[in-house]
Parts: sequence; structure tokens; C-alpha cells
Amino acid sequence: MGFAEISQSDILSWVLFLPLAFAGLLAVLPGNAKALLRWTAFISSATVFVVSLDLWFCFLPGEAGMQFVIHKPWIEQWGVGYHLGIDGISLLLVLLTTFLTPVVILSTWSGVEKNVKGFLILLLVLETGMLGAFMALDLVLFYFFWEVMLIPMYLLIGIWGHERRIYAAIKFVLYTMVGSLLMLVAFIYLIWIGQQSLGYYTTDLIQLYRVAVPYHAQFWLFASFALAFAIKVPMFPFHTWLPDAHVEAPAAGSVILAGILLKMGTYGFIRFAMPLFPAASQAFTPVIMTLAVIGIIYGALVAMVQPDLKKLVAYSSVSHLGFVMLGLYTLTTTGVVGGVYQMLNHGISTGALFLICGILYERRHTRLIDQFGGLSSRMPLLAIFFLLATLSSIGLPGLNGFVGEFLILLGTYGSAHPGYVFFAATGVILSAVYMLWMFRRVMFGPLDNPQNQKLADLNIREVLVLLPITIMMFWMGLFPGMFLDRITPSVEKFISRYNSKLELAQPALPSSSPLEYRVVFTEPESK
Amino acid sequence: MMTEFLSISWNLLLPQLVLLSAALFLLLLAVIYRAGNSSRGPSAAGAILSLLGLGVAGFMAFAQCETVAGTFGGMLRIDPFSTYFNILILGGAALCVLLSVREAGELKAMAGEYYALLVFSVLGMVVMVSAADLLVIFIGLETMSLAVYILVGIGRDSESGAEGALKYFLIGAFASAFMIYGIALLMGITGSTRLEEIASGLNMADGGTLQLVAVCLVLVGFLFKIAAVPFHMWAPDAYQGAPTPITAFMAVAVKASAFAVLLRVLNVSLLPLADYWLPVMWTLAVLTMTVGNLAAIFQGNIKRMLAYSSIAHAGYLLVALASINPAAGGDDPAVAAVLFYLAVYTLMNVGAFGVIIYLGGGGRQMETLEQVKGAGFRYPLLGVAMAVFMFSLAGIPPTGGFLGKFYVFSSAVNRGLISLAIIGVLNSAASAYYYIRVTVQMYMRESEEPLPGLPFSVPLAVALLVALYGVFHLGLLPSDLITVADRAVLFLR
Repeated sequence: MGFAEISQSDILSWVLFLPLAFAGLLAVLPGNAKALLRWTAFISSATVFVVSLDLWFCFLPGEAGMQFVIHKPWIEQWGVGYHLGIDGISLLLVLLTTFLTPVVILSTWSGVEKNVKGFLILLLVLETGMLGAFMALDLVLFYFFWEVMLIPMYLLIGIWGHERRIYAAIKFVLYTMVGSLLMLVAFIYLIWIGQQSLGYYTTDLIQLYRVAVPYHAQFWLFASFALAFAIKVPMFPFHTWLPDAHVEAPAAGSVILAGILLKMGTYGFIRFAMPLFPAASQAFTPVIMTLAVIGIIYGALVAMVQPDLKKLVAYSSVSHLGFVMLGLYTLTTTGVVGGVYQMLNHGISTGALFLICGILYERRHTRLIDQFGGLSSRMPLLAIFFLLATLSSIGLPGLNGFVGEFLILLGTYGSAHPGYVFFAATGVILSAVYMLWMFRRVMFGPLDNPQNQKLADLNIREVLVLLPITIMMFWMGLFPGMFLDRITPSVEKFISRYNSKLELAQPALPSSSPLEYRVVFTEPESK
Repeated sequence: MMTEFLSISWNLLLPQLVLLSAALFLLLLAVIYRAGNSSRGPSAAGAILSLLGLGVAGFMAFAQCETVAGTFGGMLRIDPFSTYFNILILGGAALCVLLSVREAGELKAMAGEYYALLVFSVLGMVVMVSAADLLVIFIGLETMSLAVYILVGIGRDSESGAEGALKYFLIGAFASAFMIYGIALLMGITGSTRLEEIASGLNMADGGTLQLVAVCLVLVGFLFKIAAVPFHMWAPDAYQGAPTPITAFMAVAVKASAFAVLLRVLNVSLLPLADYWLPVMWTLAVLTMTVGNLAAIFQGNIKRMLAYSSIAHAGYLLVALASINPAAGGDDPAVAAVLFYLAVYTLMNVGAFGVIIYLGGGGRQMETLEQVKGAGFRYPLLGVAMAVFMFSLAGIPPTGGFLGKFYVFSSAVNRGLISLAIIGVLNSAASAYYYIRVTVQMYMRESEEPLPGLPFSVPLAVALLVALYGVFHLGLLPSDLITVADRAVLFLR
């Protein structure tokens, strides 16, 4: 790629901070020049995507470890470093982020008329936050970006959302804050344990991977990590913020929220909670798999009865993210790879569905399914895209969703808990039921609502919004190999690290009784 | 006698002396203006003179950053710890002077006294944080307090100001009485009022109960000044009634100096009794955080809300005090955490109050949360600044507020006080609700009436820019300040 001037080692920093720099550029443009702002934001985010493609081409597919690593001291006194790096798992999530952002920005050109400048700035700041969270290999740095994401999303929902936007925005912030602050205490505690074992303070994830955490501590640490991430995923029963946030958010906010932000939760499990505390994770496995399966079925059943289009897609997210969690906890290569792939699929297909919800809402200012009906005769182009997104979400072979779901089911069957396959497969069937039923009610049937008579089909801009996503659905469905090749080595490394640490933790079990362990931790610190 | 006088190293006292002369000049200025019958009042001149005094004193203090020495026969001690706080207090006070220009202008002829009192109270503070003797501490504390009592009620037409000042004064007088009684008892037990000698006296004395009573009485005096629950009753009224710049001054400089002295007394004199006061600090921290945050949630008045918020922040600082490790040598991270936190806290509070003052520039007094409706888009820069300060107060990165909390809670976890850290973060989550509500009002609700244009104010803009820069600097590149704080702490014990 023609980016010789960007030295290979700095590329992650470039991708990370370019959106922020472009947000700064937008800030100095005049606020009433809407077209200028929109074009600038779109070109900016597209530039970021092009730069990030360099990651794809320079990534060594066979390599399991971190690549493009940047490691500089930041707050040396606390052992905090500016440590970035991506492996096969985060590479694709980073690319998903840089891919969806320009698409989302293009989609808001007609939907957002109020305070365009602020809206676009927040989207770009949000992009930096999300990219940072996927790239960070340091606990404090990760927490930084994790929280930085919160503010723009909160403002996007609260300022540009629908009727109950303030309630939804505050609920979103408070849910996330409670989880993440408890995780912060766990971070600090883990750093302290690391200091006991390594002899120096470090917040570096790679170094903390090496620390054998006593089982008793693992239990609580894992519980608080898992709570924070489970809220974000969201896993049943921590999902109640999600329908509110999705329904009230503007279309662009929903796409980012479903497409990328929810992946933070599952990514947190695979990058932090599971490899750091495998013994506790193992103990929690039945709980998490059960909750995942409940989420799959509960999300599907609730989605089925939703009268509101966005709420339906929101509950379908609960169901699909349940699949991802199930895949991660199979701890087989097939299942985990499937889980990671399903994260990407969900970003693509649900992103497309929310974009379509937004397009419909712009035309009709309603999200209620029974207000539509027979739209396919008026909007044939939209019908095609909508059908493809629906089928991708269901998991039709040939489209992306199938690959992920199939790998997860296969992995679950080959795992230590094959019984869950039955419930998960039920979820697949249910998802076909509610998605196809929804599609029929919106697109087919008589065109009897007079307000739907004059609906215009997609314009060129909207086609350009949906086309890249649809291409990705086919690409990821027909040629999954090039993606899986990059994911698999990192997943294998994840599993082998998990298992080897699990074995290490076993003999340590008896010696980590609470009493003895306390003696260790009240010793005065020595520098 | 003469030789003794000369043996005092006056140069160590340069910051204090500069402040004293600045305050006296300011008084003179007030008289001159009154004699000249000027209708405008000495607001601008007073502000410039105060800034000059604070600046020169700050420069003198900065020149002492390597100094470790005692003077006045050991009653005063200049070390990096006192220098750290001197600079912090002088800086905070200078920012408060910048915030004061308009409000002081409205006082007309009283403006001279306003600045004189402000500088006098700063003088009390810098004496207090450099003191190595309980009596000197008491003198500094009273100098500071008397000036602040008057400043709270300086708007003579304001009923709430008078109410706040009276409450503050009456309860403050009680607290001072408790404290001086405690000092007397300690003197009786240990035979000294020197902080270091008290420590050795306490080691030997075994009259347990009396000793603890004396310590309690002294601590009550400090806890009153930092507005720890249950000694906080005065704070909401005084904060609400005072002119807003004085509210900011109380929230930052008064609190910082009281914490500085509390740290010194706990770490120098009362370390032998750590087993007694550490659990007390634990309890007070929990009470102060929880009461402060819960009460703040229900406030409709923005100044009152920030008053409860500052109570809650005192609670977070008490978490660090409860995490002090008596066995650690000089480098106790808990103490350094207090130093770092207070710096961040000063900046973000000055910023928050500064925005409120700025918003009040359009001819309407900022009182309720309702009044900031729609302000975010009407005044984009002020809106962004306020949002940053609110997020910093809530402890959200990339602001200094986050790293401050991280530092404090780390020190708690490092001492095994995990439950305290968990209570702290849950409080922090609760506090997010009311800080975020300010941004909700600013950005997500529309104002019923059109918002007036605001006159541009250079001093306010400078103060806000400094605060904004500081909050981000400490949130992104905190290493330098951490190094300074770590070093300052070394000289405490």
C-alpha cells in the first residue's frame, strides 16, 4: 500500500488518532455549512478506513501473537504503558469499526439536521474510543478508551434520540458505569496481585497474563470483570438497558451501538476475563453457558412479539450475542473462531438492519411494524437489501451469518457441554421465525396504509450506504477462509494459554485458602 | 534578643511576608478609593494587586522547592510538602481572584476589602501548611477562617449570604473551641505543642482515654474545615449563600489547606495512634461520600449541588487517609494520592464554578439547574468546558478526575481495604447521575426563554482555559505531578 511515509511501527497510532484529529478539524469548520461538514466527515472516516486497510495487508496471517505493537512508557510510576497491538481477533474488529463508521456517517446525511457539527464530531471521537479499546494492551489504557466511548454514545442518544431519549441515555450511562467501576476495582486488585508475584507494578496485559492469580482472588476478580462485560454484551439478565438505548438512539447511534459497542463486551471476555482468570472462568462456565442459552431463546421469543421494528432488532441482538458467548465458552477452536466470526457477522447484518430501520423511519416517522405492509411494491430496491440483511441475520448458507452460527453449533457439539446445542439450534429456528415474519409484515401483503402509497425508493446515497455492507455479507459468507485464517492462530493461542494456566492453577488450589492468602497481601509493600 | 531576632531565617518566610504586604496594600487601596469617592470601586486595581501579590508569593514559594528547613525555633517548617501546598493554594487563590472580578465589581467600594480579606485568608493558609506547631496551625487556621466568614457574608443585601455566614461562623467558632481545648489537653499530656514532640510524648504517655479525647477534639476542628460528615452541616448554606467566587475559594483553597494540615498532624504527631484513627477515617470516608452524593442527587440549586459534591470529594480524600500505612517509610502512596487529587480537584472545581459565574454574566443570577437548560448549544465553548468539568468530577477519563480517583482507590486496595474501594466506586457511579444531569440540562433540554448573550470576560476566560488545560494535562500526562507529589511526601514523616 502506498503509505511508505507512515512507518510500520506507528500505524496503529495513526489509525487510532486520525479520527480524533479529523474531529478537531470539524470543530473549526463553520457550524452552518452542513454539506461541507458532512463531506469532510465522510472523507475523513473513509481515509481512516483506507489507512486501516494497511493493517489487513501487512498482517501476517499465520502469526498468533500481537502485531504492529507499540509500547512506550506513559505513567511510569504506576507501570502504565502506552501499549497497543492487535492479533487476529482484534484486527477484524478494528477493521469492522473503520468500515462501519464511514457507512454510518453517509447514512446520517438526511436523518440528522440538528447540530450536524456536534453529531459528526461525536461520531469521530467515538471511533477513536472504540479503536482504542480494541487495540489497548494495558489495563489502564483499555479502561481509558472503554470509558471514553461512553460519553459520545451517551450524548448521541440523549441529544439526537427520540421521545424518551434522556431516560434511555441516563440508563445507558449508569448501567455501564456501575459495571465498569467495579471492574476498575478489580483492575487495581489485579495490579496489586501482579506486584506481589512479579515484584513491580505493571498494568501491562501481556505481563499480567503470566501472573498466576490465587483461586480465591480469581473468583471475585472474574465475577467483577464478567459483570462489566456481561452488561455491555448484554447477557441476560443485564440486557434491560439495550432495548431502551436502541429504540431511543438515532439510527446512526443504533448501528454503532449494535455493530461495534456490544462487541466490547464479548471482546472483553476473550481478551481479559477468560485468559486472566481461567480457573474461575472454568467454574463459571455452566452459569455463563446457561445464561447465554437463556439469552438466545429469551431474546428470540421477546423479539417475536415486538410491535416496534427497532425493538425487534434490539432483542435479536440479545439472541445473537448469546450465540457469541456460547461460542467463546465452548473453548474449542471451532467454537471460539465461530464466536469471533459471529461478532463480525452481527456487526454487519444488524448494522444493515438498523440502517434500514433508519431509512424507513426517515420516510414514515414511525417504527411500528403494523404501520407498514406491502412496501416491496413501492420500494423494490429496499426490499432486496432488506431481504438480504434479514437472511444474513437468520444465517442462510451463502451469507455471512451461516458460517458463524454453524461453527458455533459445531464447536458446542464438540465441547465439554454438547447438550447446549439443542437449545442453541432452537434459537436458530426461532430467529428464522421472527425475522421472516417481520419481513413479511413490513414488505409483503396489501399496501393498505395510505401513508405508504407515496413512499420513494432508495436514492443513490442510500444505495451506496447499503451496498458495501451487502457485499461484505456475501464476501464473508462465500469466502470465510481469508478471515478465518487470520482468526484461527490467535484463537488457538488463546485456548492453549487458557488451558495451560488452568493446569497451573490446579495444584495451587489447596495453598490458596483465604487465611494464608490474606497473610500474603497485608505485607508492607517493598519497592 | 537582637541576635535571636537576626537568627530567624526571614528569607524562608518570603511568601508569607509578600502576602502580608499585599494584603495591607489592598486595605490601603480601599481607603484611598473611598476618600476619592470613586463610583466604580477598586475592583480592577484590587484584582491586579492581589494577582501580583499571589504571583510574587508563588514565585518565592517555587524558589523554595528544594528547601528543607525550620525557622522560628522550629515552629515553622519549609519542606517540599509545605511548598507543594503553598503553590497549590496560591494557584487556586489566583484562579479565584480571576473569577472574582465581576462579582467584586458589583460590591463597588467594598471591593478593596474583598481582595484584602481574600489575601489575608491565603496568608492564614500558607502559614498553616508550613506550621510545625499546633499553636501556629491554630493561628493560621483562625486567620484564614475569620477572613472567610466575612467573605461569605460580604454581599450585605443578600439574605442567604448573611444566613450562610452566620451559620458558618457559629459552627466554626464551636469547632475552633473544640480544637483549642484539644491542643491544651495534648499540651498537658505531652508537654509540648510541637508536632514532632507530641509524637514522642504520645509514645510514652499511657493515659489512654484522655489522650484519645484530646486527639478527637483536635481532629474535630479539621474535620469541620474539610466538611466531613457529620461536621458538614454548615457547608451547603455557606456555599449557596456566598458570592460564587468565594464558594469556589472555599471549595478549593480552604479544603486543600485543611487537608494539608490534617495530613501533617496525622503523619507527624498522631502516627503512634494510627490504630485508633484509621478505622475512624474509614467510617468517616464512607459516611462523607455516601451522604454527600445522596444529598447532591436531590439538589435543584446548582451551587448547593456542587457544595454536596465537594463534601463527597472530601469523602474520596478521606478514603486515602484511611489507607495511610503507618509502617511505610516516607513513600506512602496514600498521602501522595491526596496531593495529586487535591490538585485535580482544585482545577475542576474552579472550572465548574467559573462556568457558573460566566453563565451569570447575562444579567441573570445562576441559581437553579433549570437555568442551564439549552446553554450547551447557545454557548458552545462554555458548554463543552462545563461538560468536561462535570465528567472530570464524575471521574471519567481522559480527565484528571479519573486518575485522581484511580490513585486514591489504588491506595485503598493496596492496603487491603477492598470494601472501602468498592463503596467508593459505587458512590462514584451514583455521583455520575447528578453530574451528568447538568449535561442533560445543557444539551438535551430546550430553554423556555431565549438565552441572553454573554459579555466576554478576559479574566474568566483565562481562568477557565487554565482549568481546562490542567484537567486534561493531569488526565493525560500526570507523570510529572506524580513525581513531585511522591517527592513532597518523602519529607512528611
